[in-house]
Amino acid sequence: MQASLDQKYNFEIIKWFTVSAVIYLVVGTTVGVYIASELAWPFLNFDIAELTFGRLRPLHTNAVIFAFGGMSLMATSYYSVQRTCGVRIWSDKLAWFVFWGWTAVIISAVITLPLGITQSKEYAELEWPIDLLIAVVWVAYTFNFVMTIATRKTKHIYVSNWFFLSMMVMITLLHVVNSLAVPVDMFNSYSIFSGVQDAMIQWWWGHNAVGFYLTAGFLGIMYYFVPKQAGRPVFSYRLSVIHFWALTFGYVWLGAHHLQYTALPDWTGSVGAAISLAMIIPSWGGAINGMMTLSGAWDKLRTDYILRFLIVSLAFYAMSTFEGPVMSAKTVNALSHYTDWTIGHVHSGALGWVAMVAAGAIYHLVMKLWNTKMYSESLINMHFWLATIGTVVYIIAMWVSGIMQGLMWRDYDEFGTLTYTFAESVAAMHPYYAMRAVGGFIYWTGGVVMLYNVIMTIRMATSEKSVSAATTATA
Amino acid sequence: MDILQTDWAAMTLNDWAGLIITVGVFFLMIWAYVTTFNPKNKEKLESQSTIIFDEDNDMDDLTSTHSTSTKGDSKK
Amino acid sequence: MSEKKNQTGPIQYKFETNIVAMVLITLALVSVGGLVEIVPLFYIDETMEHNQHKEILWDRQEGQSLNDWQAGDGVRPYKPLELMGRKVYLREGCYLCHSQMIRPFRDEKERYGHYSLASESIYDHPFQWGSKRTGPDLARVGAKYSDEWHELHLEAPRSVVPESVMPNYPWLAKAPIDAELTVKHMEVMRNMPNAPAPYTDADIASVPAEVEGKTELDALVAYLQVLGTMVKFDENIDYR
Repeated sequence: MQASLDQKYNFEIIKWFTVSAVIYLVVGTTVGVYIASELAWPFLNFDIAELTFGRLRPLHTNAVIFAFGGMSLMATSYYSVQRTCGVRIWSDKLAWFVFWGWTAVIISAVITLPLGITQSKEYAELEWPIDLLIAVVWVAYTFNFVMTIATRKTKHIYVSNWFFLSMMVMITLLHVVNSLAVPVDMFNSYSIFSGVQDAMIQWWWGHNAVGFYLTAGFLGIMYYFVPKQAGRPVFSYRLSVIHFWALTFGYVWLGAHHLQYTALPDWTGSVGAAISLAMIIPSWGGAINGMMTLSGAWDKLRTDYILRFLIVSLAFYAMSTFEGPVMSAKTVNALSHYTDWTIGHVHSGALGWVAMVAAGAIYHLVMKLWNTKMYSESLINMHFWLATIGTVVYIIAMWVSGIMQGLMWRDYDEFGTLTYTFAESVAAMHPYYAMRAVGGFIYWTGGVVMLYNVIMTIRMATSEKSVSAATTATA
Repeated sequence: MDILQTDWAAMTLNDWAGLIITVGVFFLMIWAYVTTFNPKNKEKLESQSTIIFDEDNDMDDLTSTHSTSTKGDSKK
Repeated sequence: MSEKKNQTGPIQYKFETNIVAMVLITLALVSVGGLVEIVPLFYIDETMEHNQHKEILWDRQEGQSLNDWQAGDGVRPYKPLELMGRKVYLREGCYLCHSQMIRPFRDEKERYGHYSLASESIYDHPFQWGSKRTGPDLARVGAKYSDEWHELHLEAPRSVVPESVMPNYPWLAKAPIDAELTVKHMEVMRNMPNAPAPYTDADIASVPAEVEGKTELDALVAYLQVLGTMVKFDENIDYR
């Protein structure tokens, strides 16, 4: 049975994407824990340019978003598109090009970012030659995906594929526009936009890297892997229809809420904030849709650790998609902007939602691809608890420090003068920065446990396979 | 109730464009909601949710401790 | 219309069964938000304050050099050394911990100064407004501290601000500024298809003299010292 599936679908490429994703999760969070520690204990910068916070922070964001996130998305989208369309990936060669191309992007990022080769646009730091490579690889990825759907055996296109597709289309648009730059030489360039327009375009990109790359794409994962793992169809397909169209249309507008009270015209920030509030509806619709898939079979959560990852990720998704609109409301934003609260919000989404749903999907994939059970059930459970506790510690630290910063900066004493100097607010952050580093470390440990479990599973599966091959040969 | 007053004469082209887009989107959303949740369309739309279980009976069975297939596996 | 629907199902069916239609409608839907929010910023005059208040931009007279500019004369393109200092600022990722965008609140006014204007970052490719204040806002840090303070602070921040968590930047003082490279950077800024910096040939020709013997540390300090000093604000005018 497995042999025939192996022949029908291209599982080999998915294996490479999947294992890369697990490795990059560990790599990306390692850098994350390190830079978190630098903020708590600045001696860790060691006066080495390549190790300073300012240079490693882009490496951290690029590694988790584009290396871990990208490999997870490519693994899951190329797997589920084959399964839901009943056909092999359109072009094996193109799929390999995507894998090696994306790997080349990641390696170039690891080399250039610590060297300070950067366009200095958040989440789009990579210099123009790498940007060109990203564009080519991304279009190849999209084209292969679309062509696989075009050659499908089924009449209808399943909902997970819509979400993957909208991510691919939007990221192409965002990447091309936001990265427009005039080169000085191979390693230097300047954005063709300036000031206020550049700010709007940057956050149009920035928030949609979150909205499409890390949300629409991972919702694609949710719509395939949650029902599949639970063994029951999604709670409401009609809700998913609304979820998809509202999210696709609405998310694009949100970037402006990053620029409230700045020199961006008031109307733009207000439009962004208004649509942000409205986005609670589709986001919660989606979260409920995923969780209610288990309706009537909640007992599965007791025995199925993978399902736990998926369902808890949806709880974090619901939480951060509530927190986001709250933070985009102008009164809250006046306090929360520029503080650690934003960092906490991002990580409740990234650690709690993105990485957890991806972990669930990756465990599911590993078992399907190598046609085996996981090496250790209890290690999955251990990873689950480390990830959950790590996330909670991290976001609580950032909530406290963020709100504290916001309040200290605007506090007045009885004489009507500012109570605290800026330096005093920095000093007050120390315990929370240390706590954040600990939370991140706990999360990182979970990632290491996962990597070990996956490696052992693959070793087990391959040795079993060679044993059974040997027995058939001798027989 | 000053907030409800609009100086229509002062509306610029940009204001009008914004107003029309906003109202248009509002009605489109109502339309999308109504068609999707119209009970007439329920069966047709919901029938697609089992696509993921329609493929050839794969190795779901082999790793059945995790994906215990019950209700969803329509092809049983 | 409803009869037709009964035969083919809701319009959702069209998209669900036709990949080309799906790609096109998705592309159309995701374009709307960006078009509405971004495109008007390029043509609505009110976006840039200098369209209402001409004095915000430096009114440079024929034959004046960048060195003839005095603080408060209005927004001008960066001098060669400042431009290279800005490049150091970008390279070291300063924008990740320092904002350059003061919001119109009482506490920010008292802590940092007058709220920032869009016109003040007209020559900033890319913008440096930032998103996080791990350290303080730098939009108006210029002329608040001496050059010597900045040099000490960049070499070893905790020697002057014990609470600081900023890294030391000892390598800046050892790296010279290259005149040829500076010219290349200025030429790119001057030939930008959008919001170019109005450098004259004389500005470009002045580069070797301006950067002679300077280090990256000098350049970065020069950049920091000009931040926020370009516009002279009138407290009675509401610029936004």
